[in-house]
Amino acid sequence: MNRNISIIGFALLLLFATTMFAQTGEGETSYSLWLGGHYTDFKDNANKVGEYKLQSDKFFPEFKLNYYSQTGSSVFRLDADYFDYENVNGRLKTKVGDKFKAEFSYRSLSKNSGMDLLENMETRELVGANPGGKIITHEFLDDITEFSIHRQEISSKAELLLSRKNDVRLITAHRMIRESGNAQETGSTHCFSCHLGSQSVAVDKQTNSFKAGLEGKVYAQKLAYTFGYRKFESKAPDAYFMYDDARHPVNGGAGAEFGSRVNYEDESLPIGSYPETEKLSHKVSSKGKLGSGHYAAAFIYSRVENKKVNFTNTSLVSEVYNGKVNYTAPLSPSMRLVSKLGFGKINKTDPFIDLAPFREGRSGYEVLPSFDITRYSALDRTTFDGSAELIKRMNPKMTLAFLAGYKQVSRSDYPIIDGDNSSKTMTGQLKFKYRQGLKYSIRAKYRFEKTSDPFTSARGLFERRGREELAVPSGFIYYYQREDLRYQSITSTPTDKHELDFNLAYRASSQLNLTAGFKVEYDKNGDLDSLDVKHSMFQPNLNLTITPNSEWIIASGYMYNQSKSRGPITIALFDG
Amino acid sequence: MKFVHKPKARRITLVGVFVIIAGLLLFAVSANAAVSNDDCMACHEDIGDSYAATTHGIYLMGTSDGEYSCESCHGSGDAHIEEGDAASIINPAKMGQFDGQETCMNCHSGHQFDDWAFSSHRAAGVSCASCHKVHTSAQHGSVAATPDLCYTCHSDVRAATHMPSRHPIAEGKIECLDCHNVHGGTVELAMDDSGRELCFSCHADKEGPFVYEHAPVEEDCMICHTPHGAIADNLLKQTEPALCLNCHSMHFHASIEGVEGDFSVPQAPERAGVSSHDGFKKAMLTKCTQCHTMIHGSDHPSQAITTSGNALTR
Amino acid sequence: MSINGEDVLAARHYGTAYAMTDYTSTNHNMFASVSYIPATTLTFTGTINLNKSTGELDLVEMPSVEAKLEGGLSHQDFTFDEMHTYSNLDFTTLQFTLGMEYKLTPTVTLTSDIDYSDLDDKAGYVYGVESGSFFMIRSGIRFDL
Repeated sequence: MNRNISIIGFALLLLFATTMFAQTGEGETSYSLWLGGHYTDFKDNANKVGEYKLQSDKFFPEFKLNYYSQTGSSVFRLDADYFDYENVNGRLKTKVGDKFKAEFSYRSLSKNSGMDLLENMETRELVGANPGGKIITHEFLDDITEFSIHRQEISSKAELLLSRKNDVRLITAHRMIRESGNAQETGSTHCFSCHLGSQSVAVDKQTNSFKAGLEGKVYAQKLAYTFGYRKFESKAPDAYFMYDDARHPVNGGAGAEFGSRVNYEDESLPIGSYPETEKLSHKVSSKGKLGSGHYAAAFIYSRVENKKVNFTNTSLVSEVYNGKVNYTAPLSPSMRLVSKLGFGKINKTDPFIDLAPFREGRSGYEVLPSFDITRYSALDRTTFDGSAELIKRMNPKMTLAFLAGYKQVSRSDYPIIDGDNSSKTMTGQLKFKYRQGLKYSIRAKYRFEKTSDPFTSARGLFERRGREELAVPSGFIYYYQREDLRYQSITSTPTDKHELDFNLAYRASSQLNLTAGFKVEYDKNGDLDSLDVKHSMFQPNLNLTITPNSEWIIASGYMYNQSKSRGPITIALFDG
Repeated sequence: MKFVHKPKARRITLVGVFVIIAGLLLFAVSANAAVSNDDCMACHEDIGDSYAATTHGIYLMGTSDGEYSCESCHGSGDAHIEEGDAASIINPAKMGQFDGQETCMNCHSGHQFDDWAFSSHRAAGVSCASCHKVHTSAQHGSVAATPDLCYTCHSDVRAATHMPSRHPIAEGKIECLDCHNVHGGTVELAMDDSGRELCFSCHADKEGPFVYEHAPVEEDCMICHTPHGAIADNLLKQTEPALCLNCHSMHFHASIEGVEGDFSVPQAPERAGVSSHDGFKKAMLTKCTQCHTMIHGSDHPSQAITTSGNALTR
Repeated sequence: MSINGEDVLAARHYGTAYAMTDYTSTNHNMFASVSYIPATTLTFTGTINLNKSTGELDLVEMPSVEAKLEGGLSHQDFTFDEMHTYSNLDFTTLQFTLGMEYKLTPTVTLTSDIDYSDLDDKAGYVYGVESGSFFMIRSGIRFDL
């Protein structure tokens, strides 16, 4: 009850505060205060149907407040909405002429997650008529069955006019996102039996983003510089999971052999942890008139660093360089060109990972490979893209637009065998728009993309058949051998993609509006030898708005979507 | 050559100059004999009655006399008053990409509009008035509130936001504008122009850089996810394991036959369960992330050495 | 065979089996909203949204692998006839709202509304069957000044 009184008290305080801002003189001022409450009732497993609701069967007081005041060029606005203690929204905006404007907002939501029952994680191997050695089990390490996150977001931004002469402005923005609560975390150990342990772990993730920039006009060109900073950190304590000591699940033996195949055993180690990262960026941009048209150009450098790992002589960093130049100009009174050019380069640290030696001290150890690796990043790349769109007004009713584009992504350290390191995409697009007054309008779009060597998961599939290549100096079978044998690269990204989009808006009468349309998409990958990888989508829709008289408004719609994806389901014929 | 003073000629010159100046002044006065707001309101009563309470109305009243008027946006009203023809006056609401820079941009030129000229909305013929009301209060300055305003054209998104897995747009917890800059360009706090940055600006925990990475996370979030709504959990395009099997072969243990009935681990009897013939198939082919929990990347090696620790299980 | 002069055993590996398989998602979405204003002081609103979603893997029809195995791997089972049932999804969601606003005076308005959502999960997944419902009734008074 005390909480309820404080909520109503807070609402009245806000109302009082807004009156303090009320201004006299010419202008507009309005208030709206809603006081009430709601009662909620959840039945059965409501985690999904009530995913974004506070799952509590009880009464909650509630209020909404809207205040608006404008005097001359000064505006003050406050919107607040308290639904329950985890779902609160508030926004305050103020503007003083063109000299200063600021906005502050808070919003929060709750998100529930289902509990993975892990019921599929229990079985034991059958060998002939006898139980074998491979076993899967699971265990719940605590009694907690409800998992939810409370997400809060506080943001603010402000703009200050420093000099009217060159329209110099200081612009700042900040946002804090906090996700707190608990989540289900699973750890898995596979020596001696494959065993999953599930526990509730604390969640406390915080992301702080900050931006500050200056912009102004120099000889009619607008120039701007913006600095950006983002920090992510998980403030929750690490969750730990106990990894078994390695031994045979049935007889408890062979500890030395099994132990020589794993990075860690008989240890409690952190799981599911997130690195602290810091990202900063610098952006310079310019825009203005150029010839008969307008241009906008920008160059951005950003750098994100993982602050939690510490390799010798190197930190784990990703750097992005982006540049773009856009230009638009009328080519004639009825034709416009929109052109865009961009480039990018991304470098990421390639850390050397020093792992425990495999089967050290065991028979045949000398001929086995080392599994230490330099992890080359799939992100390293150089990109270039450009497009030109011609938009032509054929007559006052009809517009046609044609776009041609090209994009190239050249990847460094791309482990595709016999493949090109560069994905090259050609794009073509035709748009049509026709309007017959208020009676009807038609929009249609066709787009195709043709890509050579699209992004591919290197050697993700298929083992070569062959006994010789698998020869090992003992009776054991080592799983790395089948990794070595993989040869088929695979992807779900297409080489050929087609999209068709059609829409009709028809005003049958002043009382009936109808829109209907459909989208069709089809793509396939023609690079994958015998694999017939393809996707299709069909999506028709119909919407009706009926206003039979001034008392009734009825809006309704139906949409159907069917998406099909064809891919290989693959299994190695291997002694599992 | 010697200049000869001629009083008569000077008078003529002075008269000429006077006539020219007077003419110019008269022309200027007539050119400035602008149609007043009151002239406009004489016919456009509906707008006139409410205009004073509108954003533009209040703002213009706060500025010096004559600085702004109806003609500031609509151009000269002379011909329109004379002819009464709608075609004889500028209507900014009907101006589009072929009419030069939109009238609104003369005043609304802040950084949020830097990319408007190149935006998809403008190229599609969407004008300021398609979404914004001009002769109304800023409190109600949009044609409709989002997301309904956006659904007017993007009706497929409405359906997606009611799917079993979704960003909470239908619940009113996030807005279209949180991810989409409708005026072109990126969202406010995006740090760069890379394709993944939009997602990472909120989901920064997935960005890394990680010691162990998952290649499609580096490539494009949309290889696995769809943004507005999905049938599968976590906005995945397909349910696991079908999605994962697009790029990976199934776990080779999936071919193991299971015993039928109750079992326990001989060396740890407290670990027990009920096994079935398809037990390994159910374990390995239901949900890959039950074990591969750190699917977006991890700094910790997984347990087996032979995958170089790259199984994303820890 | 031998490596470095040492006799070794050979692991049993016979290549790969695969089946091209479709995954199909379907979604039907129907919505309607009604606003009825019988008097300037009274407004009724209502919305309904019906969503039926399925995600299904087709039957996985692996080719026969007996010939490839050459009598090896006798304890392995390479048929996956039931796999498509493990992760299929089938949800039906009904969302329904009804609202009323009654203006007692030009500045005081009474509001009431209800919100009902029901989800029917016909397939279940690792979270169990997630059928459930949510109901909310809300009332309040608004002051417009």
